[in-house]
Amino acid sequence: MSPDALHRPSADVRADRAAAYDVRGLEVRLGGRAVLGPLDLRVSRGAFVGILGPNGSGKTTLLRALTGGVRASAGEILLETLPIGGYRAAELARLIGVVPQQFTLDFSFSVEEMVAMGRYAQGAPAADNEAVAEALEATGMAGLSARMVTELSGGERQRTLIAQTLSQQTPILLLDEPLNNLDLNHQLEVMQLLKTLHAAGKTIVVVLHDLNMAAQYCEELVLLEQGRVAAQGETTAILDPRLILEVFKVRVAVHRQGRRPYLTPLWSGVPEAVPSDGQTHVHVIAGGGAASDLLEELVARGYAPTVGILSVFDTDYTTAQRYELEVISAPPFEPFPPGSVREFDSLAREANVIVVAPVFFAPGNLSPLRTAVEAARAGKKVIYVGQPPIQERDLAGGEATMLVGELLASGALEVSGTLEAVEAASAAGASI
Amino acid sequence: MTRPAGSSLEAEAMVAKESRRSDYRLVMVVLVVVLAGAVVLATVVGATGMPVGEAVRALAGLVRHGTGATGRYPTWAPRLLLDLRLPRIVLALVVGAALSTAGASFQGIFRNPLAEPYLLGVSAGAALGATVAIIWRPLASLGIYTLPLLAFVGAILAAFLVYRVATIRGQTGTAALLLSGVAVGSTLTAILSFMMVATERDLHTVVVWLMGGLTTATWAKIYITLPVTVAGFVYMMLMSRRMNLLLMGEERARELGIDSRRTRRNLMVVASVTTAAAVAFSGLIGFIGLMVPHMMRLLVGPDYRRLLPATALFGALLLLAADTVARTAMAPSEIPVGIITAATGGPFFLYLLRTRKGV
Repeated sequence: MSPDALHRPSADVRADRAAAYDVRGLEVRLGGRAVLGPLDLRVSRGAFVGILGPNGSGKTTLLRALTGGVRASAGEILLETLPIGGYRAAELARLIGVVPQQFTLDFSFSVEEMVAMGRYAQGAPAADNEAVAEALEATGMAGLSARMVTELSGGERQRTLIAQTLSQQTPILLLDEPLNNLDLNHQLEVMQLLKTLHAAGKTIVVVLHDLNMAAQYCEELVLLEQGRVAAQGETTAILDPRLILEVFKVRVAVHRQGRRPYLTPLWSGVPEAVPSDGQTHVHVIAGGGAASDLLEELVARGYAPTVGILSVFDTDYTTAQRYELEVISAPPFEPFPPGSVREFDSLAREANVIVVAPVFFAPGNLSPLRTAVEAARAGKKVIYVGQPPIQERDLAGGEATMLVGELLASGALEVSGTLEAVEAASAAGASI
Repeated sequence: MTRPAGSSLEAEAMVAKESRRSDYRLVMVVLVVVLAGAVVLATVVGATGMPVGEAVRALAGLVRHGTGATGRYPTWAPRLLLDLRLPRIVLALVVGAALSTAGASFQGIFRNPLAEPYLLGVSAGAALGATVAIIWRPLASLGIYTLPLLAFVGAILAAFLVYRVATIRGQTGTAALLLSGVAVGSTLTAILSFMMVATERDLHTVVVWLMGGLTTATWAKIYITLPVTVAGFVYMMLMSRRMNLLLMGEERARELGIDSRRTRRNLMVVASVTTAAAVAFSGLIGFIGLMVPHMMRLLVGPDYRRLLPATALFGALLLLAADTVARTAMAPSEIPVGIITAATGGPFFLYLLRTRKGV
């Protein structure tokens, strides 16, 4: 098959969705130990696939298997519908360009000489110079082409390696953590370059560490966990907090602004805190940003608290939105409407625990506090954060202070800060 | 990923970096001229007491009229040049080229600038084979071919043994390779020494041969060594681009399109045979294969397409120079040429070990 036949514009490729790779039941054993599989994987022509997974999950092994460098112990890898083992090395080098993770060269070739080595198997001497020049240009190494590779910085060596691979002009590119050793600006340049190559119709499979780079650039993601595919699909579907927690054991918040999701890890204030089983329903009475810390800490420990009532301009409202929490909202600059209050009352009844954050209370937002008092009287677990003191936060002419007094008299637990409140909530949850 | 062309400072640095590597054609022309001069010089100097002037005239007569010519030089002069000096010179050239191109190839095969036939134990393997040929009389039926054949076998076996020992889980590390070479080399040398002690009959022949020398050069030996060396060189040249790729490691070379394993194995056989062709008639001459490629890399760069021709020429030149010193410095007695190369090559090796970066 000629490289041109594979090198089509992306629109075409998406139309026929032929597979560049079709991996079936692949298993790889190294030194008698199973390091990969069994797994199935399909990479369409023109796809831009990111492979993610914790250290030791088999990302590099999978990529090396796709290069033909590691033999399958079981199953098969079809490259362009033919078993990869049937290709000769030169044929593979015309189909697949590989950017390996590790690379050393102790001999002082110039950058240009090293990049030109990528042309070895291409069998088109007439096109060599142009291909090398293009690759140097694309990686920003043109100005350094006469430098010795032994005298380059780590980032420059990495870019030279990428240029060498690009000079092969293959329809498929496999990259193993190509952002290693690169500054942020060069990381972005490399990813931008991959995006351009993808737009030109190349099939790209890249192992990445940085979930956000993957989120920003890859069209599809494969999550590996202990040598198996934990999830595979479109980027937006894979970057799900539950999947990330399952595979990476890290809680993240996913921000979906625009088409590309963005992840931020969540750090619990108490690193060794045991995550909740997610069964306890905690409701937080919030407002004015007083509950943002509390909400983040609860989310970090695995709770999905409900929040409200909040005005849509409230800082706490933004926080709750970020973690995709259920919020009872109200229009800004006016007292909570009866509809919101009814909604809140029913939610408060369902909750196992109600936490009252140190909110500034005015006549317009007193109704949740009243509900909390009733709930406490009815025997529900209510936790009240008492710092700063209510007198300083009472903008309702003493009515809030009075309600808090009733609240505490009805059996609510007073705590002084966020962490105590979360501890108390989880203790209360555990006793249910 | 575009950025403006480098600043003028960067450009200057580039020029400086480039000029460090000399013009390839100039280097080759200089090498050929110096080599030709060295051949003439080596032909006319020697231990016979024949004045240089007479020797030059005899050489000129030989070139112009062949052996029948006479002139203002002793009548035996043409025969002396033709039967003693010229074969020795040619053998020095061929052996020097063989050892240094084999060294350059081993360095590529093992991705290691310190690899060399002598250090890798390949020379010791060839030597053991040759010693068996000298001592074990029944083998002599093959005549002049016995010794080179057994040297070939010894060299190849030693190379593969060293390689196997040094390869741990598919990786061949520098330290492992050198240690393995030293270990295998020592073991083979021990066996060789024991054989020498056990059979006193041919002791002298073996000792003289081992010390490394071109004293016994004849045209017949050249007829064996020269074709093997030339064939080996041609093969290495054909593989020169592949050797460049192998410098980046077996896996990377495969990714760029060559069957790395087979290429390495074939090159190892060819480099070992080339080494054996040299060792069979010159004994153990060390360090040529180390020094020459290194110096040529500084002049023409590491690209094998340029490195191999330059290495062959300079290797020939260096061994000729060493051998000429060997036979004239203490005339009429001779210093074994292996002593001269080892005396200069040993310190050079140490220097390389200390400053290896970017060899």
